[in-house]
Amino acid sequence: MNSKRIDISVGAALSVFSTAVFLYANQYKGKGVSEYGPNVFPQAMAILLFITSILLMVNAVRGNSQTDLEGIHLTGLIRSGITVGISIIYLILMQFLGFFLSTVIFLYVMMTYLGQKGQLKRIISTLAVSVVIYAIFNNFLKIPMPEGLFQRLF
Amino acid sequence: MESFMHLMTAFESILTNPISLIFVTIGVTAGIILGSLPGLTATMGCALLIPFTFSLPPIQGLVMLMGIFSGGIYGGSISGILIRTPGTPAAAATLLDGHPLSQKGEAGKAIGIATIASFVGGTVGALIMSFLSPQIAKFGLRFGPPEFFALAIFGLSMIVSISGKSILKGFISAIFGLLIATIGFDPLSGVPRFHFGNPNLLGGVEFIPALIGLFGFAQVFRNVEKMEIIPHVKSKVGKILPGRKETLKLLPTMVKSGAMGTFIGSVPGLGCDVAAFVAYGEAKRTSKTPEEFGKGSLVGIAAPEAANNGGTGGAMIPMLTLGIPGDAVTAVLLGALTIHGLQPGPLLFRDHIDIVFPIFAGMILCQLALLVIGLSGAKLFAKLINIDRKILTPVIFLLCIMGSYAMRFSFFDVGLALIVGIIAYFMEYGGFTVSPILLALILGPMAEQNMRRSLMLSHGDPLIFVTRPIAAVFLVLTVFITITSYRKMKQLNAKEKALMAEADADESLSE
Repeated sequence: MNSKRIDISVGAALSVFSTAVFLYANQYKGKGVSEYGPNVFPQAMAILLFITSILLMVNAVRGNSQTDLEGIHLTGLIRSGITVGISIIYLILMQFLGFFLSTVIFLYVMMTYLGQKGQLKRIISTLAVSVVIYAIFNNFLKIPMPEGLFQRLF
Repeated sequence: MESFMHLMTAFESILTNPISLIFVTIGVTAGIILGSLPGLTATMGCALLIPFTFSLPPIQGLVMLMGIFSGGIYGGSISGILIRTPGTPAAAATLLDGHPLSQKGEAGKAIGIATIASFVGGTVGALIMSFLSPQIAKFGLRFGPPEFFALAIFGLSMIVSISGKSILKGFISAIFGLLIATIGFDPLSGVPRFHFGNPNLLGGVEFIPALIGLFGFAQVFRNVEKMEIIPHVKSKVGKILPGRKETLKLLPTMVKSGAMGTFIGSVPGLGCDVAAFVAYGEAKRTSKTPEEFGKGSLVGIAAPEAANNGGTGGAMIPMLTLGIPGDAVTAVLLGALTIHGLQPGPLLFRDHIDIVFPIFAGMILCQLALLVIGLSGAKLFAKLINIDRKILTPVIFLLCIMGSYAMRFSFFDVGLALIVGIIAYFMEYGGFTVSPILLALILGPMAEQNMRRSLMLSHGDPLIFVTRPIAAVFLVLTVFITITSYRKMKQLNAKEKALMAEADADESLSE
């Protein structure tokens, strides 16, 4: 997608968004101690956002868009998407397997997915990082980690 | 003189409690490591390591964060010198001369000079900060709501004018951030806003998850995306310690650039990177041998490196005295102070002098630690640059997840950070910078409260913002700077376009 089209679509989306915010914030009118209630600031910002997004579109139509934007690197984008997917599965898995076990699996899978070579290297770094992070968060910072069903059995 | 006594007492209390020194060392080391890895900035370092400071007493936690800040800004120069990729934006000026010198086989010398310059500049900055801040805070005590509103707007528009190539897009980012800042309870009336029935949003968008999303996750996604593109470079570092004569000759440049960096860094919006470039330009302008610049000149390394570390002290000044962060990292530090229950601003100097001066003393100690750790560990840090990305990235990813979870033990926050990260990742593709959002999150509540309080004071008359002299000055400055930087950017863009058109014409001719 070229920068002109990006600017026009972002501008259009933001102008709709700012209108929605303006209308939604209307419900806060008259609450609070003075006539400058909780609605004033969000509505003022919504107006400013509306104006700037219209300007963005006008600029783009006139051909004044930034030309030096980096293009999206498609295979890379897909790779980023998959890492987000892996991390969501990790967060769900953590509820069942507990922090430690799920972290070991997460790190190993991520390193394998990103193409780290050497089975032993992956296993050692996975275990070392998991132990260190677990020790720091659980024992030093005393942050309660999800134990999960599995960890409780032991 | 009073400040001096306070500073001495602060030193005494820190030095009698060696555990603080350990945190200084940990902070600086972690900062250098994170800073020297391209793709991990000082801001990200602070964001990732904030959770580790929650359980510490405020001073130790802050000292550690300042160590990360100083170490991170310095660490960026190591990778800049060795592989021509600045570890942090602030090191972009250092590589202009650092890398050519390293190609001549004198990488060690370049790093050595950079380390000493960082120490000198950082110390100058920390000293100026220690003695200037109390005066500014005293002045700030006279500020009322209209002045703070004007200051918040000034700070925001400054960062917009500096960051990114399009001012319009910068403003859109900032306004978007200001809107996000209104989520949650209204600070004046207690009315909950934009929470859509979700109790997790009643307190507003939590700062730490937003921060980790903007600067942690977004960067990780970018690193994952460009996994194959980042080159693997082997580099050799020779002797680190530069000669005494050479160093002494560079000392005046270092002190001057350090002081310059401090003042530039202290203007909200202008960060360490701007400081470094201005100092580099100034050193070149006043040099007797300007033709050596860019070919490995030692002055060309010392000036920007002293300036960017001086900038760290400078950036702390408006953050501590007025509650206006100078750049993204100080916004993080401000967030850390608030988490510890301390509200930066003129009142901090009146009510918490026992916290303020140890912060200053800690900053000075960080510079000393930087010198020692930098000179003794440079070879090790240089090796770390080549650490395997495919192992490092998952670990950083994990730290982002843990960091956003640790604040409230909440998976909602992790999800929020992930979503913010995805938005930030795409924003950068569209040419929108994310730093204004972070500043807006900090300055938004300040701007809103003070705007409404001012209007209450004036019974609804908006003229209150222009009839109060200090407020008027800041607002006029805001307009002036926005217009001038808009014009400058337009000229730059036109020049670029002309150059590109020329190149196109050449190409078609040659075909």
